[in-house]
Amino acid sequence: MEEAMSRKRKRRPKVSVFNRFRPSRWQQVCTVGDRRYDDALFLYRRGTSARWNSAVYLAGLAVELYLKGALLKTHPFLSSASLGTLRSEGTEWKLNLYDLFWRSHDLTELMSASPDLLSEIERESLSMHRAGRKATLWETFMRVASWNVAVRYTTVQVTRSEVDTFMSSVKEVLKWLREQIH
Amino acid sequence: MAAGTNTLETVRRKVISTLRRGLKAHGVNPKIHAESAVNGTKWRFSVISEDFAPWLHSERQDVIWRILRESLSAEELLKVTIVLALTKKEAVGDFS
Repeated sequence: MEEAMSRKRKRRPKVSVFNRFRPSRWQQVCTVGDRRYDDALFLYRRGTSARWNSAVYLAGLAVELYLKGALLKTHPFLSSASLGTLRSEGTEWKLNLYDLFWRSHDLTELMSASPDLLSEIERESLSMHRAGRKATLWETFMRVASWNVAVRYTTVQVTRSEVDTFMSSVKEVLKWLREQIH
Repeated sequence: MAAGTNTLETVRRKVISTLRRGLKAHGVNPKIHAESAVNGTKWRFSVISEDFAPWLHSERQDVIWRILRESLSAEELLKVTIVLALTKKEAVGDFS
């Protein structure tokens, strides 16, 4: 009886999607980003126009997850640190990063918190501009970042041309992010 | 004033005047606000006008970035982050 109770006590807690999940590795965050992008593509390609708003939302989320993956790769403490510990440490930069990682959806600020990514996107955009490209990577990224703010909350149906533009912008940004991060 | 700050301020003024002039040619009379972004190294803009109402968000972004690209250098464009183009209703969070 006692042995049975001891076994019961040792049983691992049931894993549920509703449990608060903390990714321990940056690769996990990027994998979730890939899955959300696949979901977005599914809704975009196979769904009716009624599903396009969700496609846009999920595609934007995929970019957010990749940027957060980049942050976690550079700052592994983000997965295990607690707000209380960071506050008692009094390191402001860590608190700011924690806030950005766990609470922010601002794609520009997330990009800016990874100085290597920021300088690389600027460098590539300058050379694209000099090569006469119609839109630089910086412009494409900013269009994803700004449009996301508006589209995420709208009750208005996204149109064919909007969803096409947004999905192609996200595709370009994600391709670049994958090359940079992996 | 440091040289970098001066350049940044020049970019802010240039973006506002360029957008005001360029959008007017498209029949849009906007109010433009700039706020500091990325630890004070770049600008974020909001362009508010009722004239945007019939435009798709993608069209607004197309026009805005085309206007900026025609007048700003590549280096100056990198000082511009997001440019929100909204109607008054949208600016207060009503996207219905």
